[in-house]
Amino acid sequence: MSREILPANLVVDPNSGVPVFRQIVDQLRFHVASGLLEPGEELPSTRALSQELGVNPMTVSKAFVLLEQERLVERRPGLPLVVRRLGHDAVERERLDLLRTTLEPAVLAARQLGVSATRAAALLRQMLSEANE
Amino acid sequence: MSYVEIENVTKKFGGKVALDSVSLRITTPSIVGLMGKNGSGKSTLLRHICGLQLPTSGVCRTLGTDTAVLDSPELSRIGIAHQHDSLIGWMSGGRLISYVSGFYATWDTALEERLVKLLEINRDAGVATSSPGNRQKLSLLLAVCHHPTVLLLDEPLSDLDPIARRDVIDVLIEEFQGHDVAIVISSHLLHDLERIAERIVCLDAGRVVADASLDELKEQYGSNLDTMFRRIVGASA
Repeated sequence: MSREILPANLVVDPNSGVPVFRQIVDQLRFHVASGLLEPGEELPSTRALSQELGVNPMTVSKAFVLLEQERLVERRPGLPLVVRRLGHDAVERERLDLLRTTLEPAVLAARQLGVSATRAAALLRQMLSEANE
Repeated sequence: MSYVEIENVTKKFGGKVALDSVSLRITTPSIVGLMGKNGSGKSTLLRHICGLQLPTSGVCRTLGTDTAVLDSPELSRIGIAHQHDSLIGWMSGGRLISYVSGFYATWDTALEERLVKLLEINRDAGVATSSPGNRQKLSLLLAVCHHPTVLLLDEPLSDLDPIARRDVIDVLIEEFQGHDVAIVISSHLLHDLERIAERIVCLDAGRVVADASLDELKEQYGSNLDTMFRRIVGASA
């Protein structure tokens, strides 16, 4: 049940300073952690995705190998890659990992601006509750 | 498998050094992007790979054969689209296609048909009176339809509109995906090049000033190819 929707949710910018394979890995990791890509869901083939995105197939294949090494997807001979079922702990860890990466620049900014940990934490809490409203 | 082996090649035209101790090996199927300023030696390098020019010194081998003695078995596995095409002007596009296809046992008429449609090539139009862009599309078709093992493209995108450029890139991706092929593509259109090239070779004044995987270069410079190019060529000047 591979969805047409997948490439649309995958936006790569070949002209950015970030290697394309890394852009693909990061976005797919995010989609798996957020549940947008569900366990058992099939990924498009290397060929289909490279044509869809207009990038070198080697690039897509490199991204898939990394996702496989991170045990986020499973390779089955002759079949499309499929999203693995991760344990609850693994998903939670993945989510926190991604959030940590996203927050790193904010932490740096807080230090540079001299905002105390208490105030920064309070701000985050406030922003989270605003987003929930 | 060795697609291209260039060892310490120097090429002089009279007193002018066009290539200066250039070495380049392509041993795996790959798309190699060749960048460099005007007159940096890109076209000369491509012409050396297919034996149209021979080195003043150094060794140049393509598909394992010295390029001075390339013959039908090797030449039928090489495809080249020149920057300034030397297509036969008095023919129509269709006639030129059927003329060139006759030289190749592996000519893929289904691919030819698909490219004529995709690139909107008019078979009836005279070659000499076609626009530069349409001649460029024709050159590309003539270079790929026999499924070459070494495909050399010299500025294949320069005269194309953005839609045709993307079409050509898609053709190259497909050709690369399906076959045992090394593609060397020179281009100033770095935005297009960085979609498909996995390895970047940068020439400056006839010398190789960078040769690395695009991903490595990106992680090293943290910038796109355009900025990288300015830094590499600027730094070596």
